[in-house]
Amino acid sequence: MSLHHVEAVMGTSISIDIVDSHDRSLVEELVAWFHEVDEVFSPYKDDSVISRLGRGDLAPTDVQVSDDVREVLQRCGELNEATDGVFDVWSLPSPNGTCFDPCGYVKGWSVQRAARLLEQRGVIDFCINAGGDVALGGLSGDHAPWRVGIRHPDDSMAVAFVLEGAGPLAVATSASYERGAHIVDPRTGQPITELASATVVGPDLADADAYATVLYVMGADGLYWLAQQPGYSGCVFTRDGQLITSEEFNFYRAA
Amino acid sequence: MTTPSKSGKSTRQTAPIDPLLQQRLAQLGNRRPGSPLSPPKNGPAAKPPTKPGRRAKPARAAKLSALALSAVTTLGLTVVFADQNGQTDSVQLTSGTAAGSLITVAAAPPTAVTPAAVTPAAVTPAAVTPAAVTPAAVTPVTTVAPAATVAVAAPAPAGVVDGTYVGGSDRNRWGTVQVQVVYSGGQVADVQILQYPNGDRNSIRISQVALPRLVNETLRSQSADVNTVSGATYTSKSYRISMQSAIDAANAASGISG
Repeated sequence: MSLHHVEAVMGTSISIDIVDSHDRSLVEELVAWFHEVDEVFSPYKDDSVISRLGRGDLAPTDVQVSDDVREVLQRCGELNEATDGVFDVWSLPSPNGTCFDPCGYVKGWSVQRAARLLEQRGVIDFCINAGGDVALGGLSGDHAPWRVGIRHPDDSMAVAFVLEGAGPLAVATSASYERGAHIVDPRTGQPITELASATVVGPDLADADAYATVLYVMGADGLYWLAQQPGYSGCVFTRDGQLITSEEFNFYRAA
Repeated sequence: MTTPSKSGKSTRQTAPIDPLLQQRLAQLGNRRPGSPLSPPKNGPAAKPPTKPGRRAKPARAAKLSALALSAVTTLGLTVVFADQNGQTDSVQLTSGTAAGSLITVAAAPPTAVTPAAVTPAAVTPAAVTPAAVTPAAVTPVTTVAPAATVAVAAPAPAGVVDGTYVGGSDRNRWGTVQVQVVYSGGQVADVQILQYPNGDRNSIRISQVALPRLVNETLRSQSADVNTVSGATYTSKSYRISMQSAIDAANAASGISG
């Protein structure tokens, strides 16, 4: 009794594993949600709410702007303040030609929403992986803690090490590999060169995803900032092959 | 960044290898004959231990609590261990061109009880034949960590009827991808590419490089001891979609749900 589904949506592939149910409608509900998010939040779609907000065709206060969008905008604003501008979705080159691209928050946020939806439906054990950002509930199929491999920055096929834990748990990684230097420092507009990747573990994927981006921009020093966020810890791979972890992060590392 | 100054508990040391560590590595390698932990041939740790199986300085080594190694004809190997004071030493051991070191920063103010900041070795992979990839790890105290990889489709569940299962075709911006999966003994034995993008020079290059990699990825993933992978963004979603549908077809034909 388990479900597995892979959906290509939101510019990535989202893998859904539900361990303790065979109710296919759960998968359908999640898939519908991700497509809805894609419609509303995609910066690649000229008529998405996000593109219209970016162009100024819509104001955040307009009635067409849903509560979900407002929630994302508000949280992005809070993160911007909390990080002294390191996290800034209003200063990023967006595919729609504007400077507004909240994708760095939306992916994790939408997966976290999906995870909450599963929990509301009584699902306990699940794993949702959206392009490398992972939300976990409960335990894996063999009643063991989930084991999450962290991709090696130099080899997409290799796992550098493994994290282990029971849900609710989120693991997010920001990296330049595979998509080139797609993360720029919003403060300078320059691509990030210090790190190869940054990984954050914590209770909520919306924040973990955002924090991974922040950590990636801040560099290894960002681990100190991250340690001030209750429940979150992380690691970074530098471009010259060093792995630097925060102390709490090592609790999750499988031997 | 340089040595973190906000805490006295972190060190960053990329410099020459501690001879003591070299010795330990050699000893650890000897604990498991044939283990990839045996020092690389050309590596600086090739010095044989004087007393195999025993540590030169047991007191200090007592807290060496994890040493993991991924083996892709391991080019680099890094170990961190904690000494009696809970201080972390980071030592780098490399061979060839690989570089890697591992540092733990005590980002929070030190608490009364801190775990020994011991971390498995960072792994430097090398592009070699999949056959050379043996998940392996050795720790003095506990378990074995896997190395290999990945977030492709579901691992082949046991009980799939042997045969060849064709996946659906999926179009991406470079063209159409379609694969078939060959099961043997309930396991994925081979993945064959039926259709791949070959429209222009760029997509030929992508196909030549990416698809063989993805095939290896699939074959390796079913033995990987992980449920999922963070940081693996899509390589080819078309491949995955076709792959998934082939696996779904295999499961359906074998009466396996999910």
